[in-house]
Amino acid sequence: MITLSHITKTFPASRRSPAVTALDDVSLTVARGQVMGVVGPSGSGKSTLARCINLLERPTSGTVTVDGEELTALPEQGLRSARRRIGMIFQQFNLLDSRTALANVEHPLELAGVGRAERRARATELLERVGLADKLHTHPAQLSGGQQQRVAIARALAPRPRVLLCDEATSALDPVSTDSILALIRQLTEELELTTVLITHEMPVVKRVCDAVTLLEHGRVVDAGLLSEVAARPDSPLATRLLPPAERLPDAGTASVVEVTVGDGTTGSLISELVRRYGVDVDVVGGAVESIGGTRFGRLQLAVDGPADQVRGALDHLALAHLELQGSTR
Amino acid sequence: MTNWDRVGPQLLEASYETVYMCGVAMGLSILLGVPLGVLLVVTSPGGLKPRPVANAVLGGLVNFGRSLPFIILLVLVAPVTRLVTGTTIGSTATIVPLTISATPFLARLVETALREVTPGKVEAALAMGARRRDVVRTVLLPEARPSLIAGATVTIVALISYSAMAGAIGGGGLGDFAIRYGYQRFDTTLTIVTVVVLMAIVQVVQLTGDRLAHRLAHRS
Repeated sequence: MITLSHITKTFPASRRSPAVTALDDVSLTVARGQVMGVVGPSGSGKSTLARCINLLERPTSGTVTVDGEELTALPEQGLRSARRRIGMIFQQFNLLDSRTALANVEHPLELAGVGRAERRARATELLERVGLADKLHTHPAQLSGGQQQRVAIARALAPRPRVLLCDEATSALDPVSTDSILALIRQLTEELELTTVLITHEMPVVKRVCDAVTLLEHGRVVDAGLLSEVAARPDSPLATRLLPPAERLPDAGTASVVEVTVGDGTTGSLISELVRRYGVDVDVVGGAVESIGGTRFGRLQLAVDGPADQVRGALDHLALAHLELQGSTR
Repeated sequence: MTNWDRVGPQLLEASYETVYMCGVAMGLSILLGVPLGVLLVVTSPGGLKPRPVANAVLGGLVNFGRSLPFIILLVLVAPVTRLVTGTTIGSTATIVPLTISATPFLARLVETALREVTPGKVEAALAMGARRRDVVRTVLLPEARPSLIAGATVTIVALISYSAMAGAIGGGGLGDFAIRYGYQRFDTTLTIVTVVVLMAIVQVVQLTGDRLAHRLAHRS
C-alpha cells in the first residue's frame, strides 16, 4: 500500500547549521491494512519520514508510492488530490481555534469542494464515531487533549482516506487518553480498512497497536519486520527494545542462571521438559511475559540446579532449541 | 467667551469630518495593507511561496513608508493628493496621505498577526490538500482574526491622531477646528472640548476593537 524506495532527505546547510541528512537511503513497505510503527530516538528522522509519505517534505532522492500511485512523480495539482487520500494527525493536534469541532472536521471537505449539507452530515457522523456527539459546537480550547486528538482524527478521516499518518499522536497526552486514542486508531484502521503509519518514540505504543515495526537510527533503518517476527529474534535491536533483557541476572546461590526468550506461551512446557529429561530443578527467578503483536512473548530468568552434567545437558538443550541464552554457569 | 450657538454646529461638523477621513482612510488601508501584509508573510523565507527578492523589496517599501514622519509625508505627497482629489485642502484631500501612511503600518501589524499562527496549522491544511490561497483564506486570516482586529484598532487610533495633525495645514476635521477656533483665537475652553471629543472617539474605537477581538478569540 505504501512503498518508500531509497528515500534520502538532506536539509541544506544554512547560516546557523551545517547540512543535515535526516533520512539516508530508507526503504520501507507497509502492507494494506497494517499498522506500521516507526520508532527511534528523537532526531532519528521519524517525523521527516512521515512528512515524506505525503510529501510535506519532498525527498532529495527516492520514490514514494501510495496505493499504486507514485507521488514523487505527480505535479502539484495531482499531489493535492493524492493528499486527500492520506489523512494525517499530529502531536499538537493542529486544530483551528477559530472553528468549532464540527467546522474543523468540515475543513478538508470544504477544500475538496463538498457541498454544505453533505459536509455537515459527514462531519457529524465522524464526530459521533469518535465519541464526541455532544461536542459538535465546542471550540478546541474547551476540549481536553484526548478530545482534541479525536476531533483531529475525525478531520483526518473526513475525506475518506486510504492511509492514516500519525506523527507522535499520543506524545502530548496523559496515559489514559493515550490508551483510548490508540484503541481508537486500531479500531478505525480495522473498520475502515485503513493502512496506518504510526510514528512514536514510545515502545509500549508499538506493542499495543502495531502489526509491524521499523526502527530508525540516524536516518537509517536499523531493524524492521512484523512484530511477532522481531520479538522472536531475541538479539535483534527491536526485540531488546520490545522486551528489554535483565540488566543483571539474579543471584540464585549454587544454581546456574540463564535468561531465555520464549514465544507463544511455551514457557510451561519448556520447564516441565527440562525437569523431565534432565532431572534438574528449574526455578523462575525473574522475567516478564507480554503480548506482542497478538503473540505471547517472555524473557525469563531461570535458575537451573542439580548435578553438573545434568545442568550442562539442560543448558545445551535450551541452546539447541534456539532460545537465547545468556548467563553464568557456576 | 465661547459662543456655543455659533461654534457648536461647527464642532459637530468637524467631528463628522474626522470620522469621515479616518473611516475612509481605514477602509482603503485595509484594502491595501492586508494583502501587503499577507504578501510579506507568504514570500518570506520559509513562507508558503518564498520569493526573497520580492520580499526584500516589499519590506523595504514598507519600512520607507513607516519611517517618514507624517507631517513630512503630508507635504511630500501633496502632488499625488492634488492628482487624485484635485485639491490639497480639506478632509477628502487628507484621506490620501492618511492612507499612504496607514497602509505600511497596518501591513506590518498584519504580518506580525499572521506569523503568530502556529506553523502546524498550516502544515495540517497542506496535508489536507489545501492550495496556498486556501491556506491564507481558511487558516491564516481566520486564525489571526483577534490579532488582526487588535491591529486594525491600533491603526484607527493612529489615523485619528494623524488626521488631527493634518489640521495644521488645513486638512479639516477636529485638528483643524482646534487650531482655528481654539488655538488661534486663544479659546482654551474650546481647545479642551475638542480634545475631549477626540478622546471620546478614540475610547469608543478602542473599546469596540477590544470587545470584538475578545469575542473572536476562542481561548479558554
